[in-house]
Amino acid sequence: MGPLSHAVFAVALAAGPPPGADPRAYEGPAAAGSGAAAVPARAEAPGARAPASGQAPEGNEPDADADAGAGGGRRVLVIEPRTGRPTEPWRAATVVRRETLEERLPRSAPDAIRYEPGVYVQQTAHSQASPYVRGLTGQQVVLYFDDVRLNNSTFRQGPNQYFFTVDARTLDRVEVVRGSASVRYGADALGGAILSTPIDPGRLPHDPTIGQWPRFALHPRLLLRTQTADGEIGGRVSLDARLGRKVTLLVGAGGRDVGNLRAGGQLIAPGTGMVEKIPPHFDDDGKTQLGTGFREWTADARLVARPAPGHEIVAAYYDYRQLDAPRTDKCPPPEAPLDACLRYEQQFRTLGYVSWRRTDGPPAAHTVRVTLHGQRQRERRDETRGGNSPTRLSGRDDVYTAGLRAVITTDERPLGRRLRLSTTYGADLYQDVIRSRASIHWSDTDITADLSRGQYLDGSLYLQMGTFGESRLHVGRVLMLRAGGRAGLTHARAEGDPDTESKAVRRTWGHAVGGGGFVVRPIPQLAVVGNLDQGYRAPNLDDLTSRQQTGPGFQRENADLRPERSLTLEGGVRVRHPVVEIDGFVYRLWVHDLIQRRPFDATDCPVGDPGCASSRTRFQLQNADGAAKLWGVEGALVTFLPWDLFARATVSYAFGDMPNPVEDPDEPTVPMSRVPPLNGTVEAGYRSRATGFHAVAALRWATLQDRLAPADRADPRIPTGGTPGYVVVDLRAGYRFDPYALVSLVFENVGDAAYRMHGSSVNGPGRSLIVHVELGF
Amino acid sequence: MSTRPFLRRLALCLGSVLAAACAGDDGGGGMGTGGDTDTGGSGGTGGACEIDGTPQVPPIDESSCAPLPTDYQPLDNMSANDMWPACITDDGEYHLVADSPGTIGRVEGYEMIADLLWRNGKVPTTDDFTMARVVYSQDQGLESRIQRREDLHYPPIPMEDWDPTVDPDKQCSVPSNVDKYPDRCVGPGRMQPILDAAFAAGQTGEGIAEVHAARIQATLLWFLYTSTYKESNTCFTSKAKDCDSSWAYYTGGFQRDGGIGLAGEVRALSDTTHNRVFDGVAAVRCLRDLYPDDMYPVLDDLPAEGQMLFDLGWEQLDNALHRGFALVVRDRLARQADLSGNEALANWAFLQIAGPVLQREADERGPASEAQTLADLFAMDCPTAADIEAGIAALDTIFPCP
Repeated sequence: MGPLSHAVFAVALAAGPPPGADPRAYEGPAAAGSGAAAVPARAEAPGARAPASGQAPEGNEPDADADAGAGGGRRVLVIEPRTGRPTEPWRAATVVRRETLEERLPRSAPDAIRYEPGVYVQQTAHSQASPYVRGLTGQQVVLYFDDVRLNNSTFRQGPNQYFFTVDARTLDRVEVVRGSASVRYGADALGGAILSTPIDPGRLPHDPTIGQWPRFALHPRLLLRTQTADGEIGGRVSLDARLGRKVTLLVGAGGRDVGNLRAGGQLIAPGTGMVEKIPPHFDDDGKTQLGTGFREWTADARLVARPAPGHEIVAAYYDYRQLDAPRTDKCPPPEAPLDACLRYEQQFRTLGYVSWRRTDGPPAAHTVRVTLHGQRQRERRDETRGGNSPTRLSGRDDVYTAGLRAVITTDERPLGRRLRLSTTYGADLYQDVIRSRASIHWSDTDITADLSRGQYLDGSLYLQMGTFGESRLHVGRVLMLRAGGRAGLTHARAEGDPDTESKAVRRTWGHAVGGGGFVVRPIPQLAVVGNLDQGYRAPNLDDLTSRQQTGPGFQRENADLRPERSLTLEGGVRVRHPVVEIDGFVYRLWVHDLIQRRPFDATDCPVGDPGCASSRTRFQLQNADGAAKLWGVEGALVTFLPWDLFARATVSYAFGDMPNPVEDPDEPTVPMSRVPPLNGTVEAGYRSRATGFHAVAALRWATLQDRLAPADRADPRIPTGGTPGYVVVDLRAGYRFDPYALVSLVFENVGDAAYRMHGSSVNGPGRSLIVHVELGF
Repeated sequence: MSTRPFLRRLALCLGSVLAAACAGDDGGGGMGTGGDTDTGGSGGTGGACEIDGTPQVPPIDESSCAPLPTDYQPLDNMSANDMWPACITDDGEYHLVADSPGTIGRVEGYEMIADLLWRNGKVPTTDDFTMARVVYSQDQGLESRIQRREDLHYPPIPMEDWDPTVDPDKQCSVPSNVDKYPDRCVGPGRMQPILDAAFAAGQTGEGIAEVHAARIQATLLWFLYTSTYKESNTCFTSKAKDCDSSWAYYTGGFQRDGGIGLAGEVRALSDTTHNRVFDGVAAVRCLRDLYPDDMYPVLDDLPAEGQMLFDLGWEQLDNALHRGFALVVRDRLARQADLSGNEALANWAFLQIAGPVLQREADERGPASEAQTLADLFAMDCPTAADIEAGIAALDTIFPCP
């Protein structure tokens, strides 16, 4: 395939898909306004797998003509990106698609977005990872899986491991929306939103017949994977079935056994010039990081039925079970016996949902998606003291969530000769119920003492509801204006625990947020984007009720917190050209009433909770006085060169300050916690759809991060003086013979560099090989 | 808090049976710094370590004690008459380096355990032991620090036994080093086995509850004493806020006119010694004020004069702590004759742990004969009145002044 023929790109006739609708809802141009829309194009088209970067989008991508199809009228000339089309093209957003994942071979769902601008992935353990988006993470970034909200009311301050519980092997695409986005995505979307989309059944090109039933087909697939850095051996089996004309089914199960991770070596702490010791604890070879192995099992089933043209019903089940996963920074904790360890014996997430989609409804509800879901998240922690101690501290938390979300997009209505209006609106409702308990067990007496309370207050309840709407006004071919808002309520309820002076919580907050922006396209290849969007997060049950030992120290709840609110102002340019694609954004993000950790004196510790007063450092969550401020730049540049060569580079920088949690006239503001350093990536190589081969060299780099928040300085995960910079080179190669075989190799960290993502407890993998093989038909 | 009902009933049953049947078998502790953890026998002349006769115990007399010229003396004209430069603690108060140390919580934990197990003459139940052990085992609680406690009186672990993956000052977190150097790694090597055994026996009702409680008390006081000394050193070798921990391990977070934990014990016996311990803690803090950690991170960074002052201040603290701990032991010795039954057994169990704590220093100071007297005394199953008199005389000889 020649460079230009390969560079064929869509000159789409719309500003984007109907905003708010799921990407899958869109039909191809041929489907628009025709009965063909009854069956999605990707399910029917041979070779409809999502293309790799540098290839024209198909299949699961939101279709560029969607608006045209929906509106059937005037069109705005835009260039379809070859790197993946975001759900909301007017936002700062990037997409990672399945074929890219099959090249990069991420270890986890968070790892899958490591190469995206504005994203930085922290790891408290090898079995945990938390993506930072524009310097925020955890409860300040919202996660979605197939339009199901994953965030619940126990998402804690700072990094958490919950995106790791999405099985990367089931993902078809992951989209990162950077910047506040609560209008569309509800609470927690302060730093951004991460939208993951699973693989659908019926995506394979050929349908071998079974006996005399030509409408039935089975596509088994086997995935095997191993990597030398941690001795991982794992895989997945799946069966993609067509059950008649209207029903497809994908069932799969996977697992892996991961050993201790071998790093390039130990870090030199910038502040001391000495080797940084625990955490993590290294084996005698100075490279193997103890307390990093774990096991994982997954199972999923996804049934898609299309009972009538324009209607699709999905029933899906995703189960993730992680077992025996040590929290590396506490396995062992600094200064504790080397065999002391905090383990997540169980980190489970079970999700089931049913959704109904309509794609050719009446003008006021042209596309509709309604999803009803139930989810259970379980954490069972077990801490052994080591050193022959018979003491074992255990905790178990179960979060049961039920949710309902409806997203509706209108037809595009002409308001005049040059004006067209479309609106996305909807509502969502989520309720969490928490079961939490903790105990101490002594093996020498086999006696267990149940503690007065668990990490959370048992029986706590959290309810969120909201309704939103967002309209887009297209003015001719060059301008799109957007405005929207959301209003809603959040209610938290928890019974107090007098024994530990845990206050009862009965709080209700109302909220209203808005956002808007513009896109100017002076020429089809160029878009200038400006956005002003709000984010919102009511204090959740973790803020209001939890007590826990975090990385920096003991964290105490505060039942009197106020909601956090954020505002993102961003401006950027997008270039879409057959040879080059550029995304560049500058942003400023304010977080008002930021919930931050404020040190408090041991004398203020609650009675009945000796763990508080005994901790070396103690923090209570408090709303900051004044606004925290982040600003940054981020960009991605992709060039498509002749002979199927390409090069891609990203760069991200964030600078965050927040009010000093401790009153200090000399230092009224301090750095925000764990804001990533200046970092970026470079990828260059050969990728041919015609031959099926790819060969890519990749480089990841970051500079020293020595801007540390007060809590960071007490955090043993961060070396004295900050986290050193690094440069890591990976080489990738592979061969794809769809749909029968895929062999993909990554020679990781060729230089065997010792490096650590800022805020992590584990160093990155050392020189190693990842082998990924898929076989199927 | 609740325990498993079945286990609780079982423990209560076992406790009552074993206490009745085995009272005479499990009285004294056999613990010395040599590391035995057997429960020993009651021995003694009374069958329950009750003393025949009344030992003649002279009152504590520190009237002839005077500070060394090199001592830091904030109570003497705000340190104007000593050789120490003016510093933050000259007002006689302790001033924190940083925020309140978590050590306070651990000393408060000691007090909570005391209320449950031995204070006010109570006989603790199995549930009391379980509740006390919850306090002991809490995250960041006493157990977590006992597991890592080093006794800096003993030589450091030789470099050839260092685990290279662990910082030099954390070598006692390596299990093989605990086994090889139990005196240096005193927490995991000596204290933890005593505490685990005593808590377990108390929880299950084995043996005599008061004895288990006394062993726990003695070991925890040993821990507080060792920790006060250790933290005042690491204030200059690791983190400046360890000065605060040293102060808190001694006082529980109080100024010199108060104090819980070890300070509560010492102050009840001698204001002079208590003040001298406080002065020792304040001396090290004074030095940290003179040589702040942002300019002098560790001891080696101090100029010669600073290093000399550190040696003097640390030694001042050590001397005073020894005297303080000796007073606690002395007081318990003096009380032995007044006790009977399980109280006597418990008191002797206390002494068999606390007494040998002083042995290393006694051997070092001498006279050898007096040191030997102490060694022999605490090795006894139960002393006589004469043994007690000799022991108190030896303590007064070896540790006469703070």
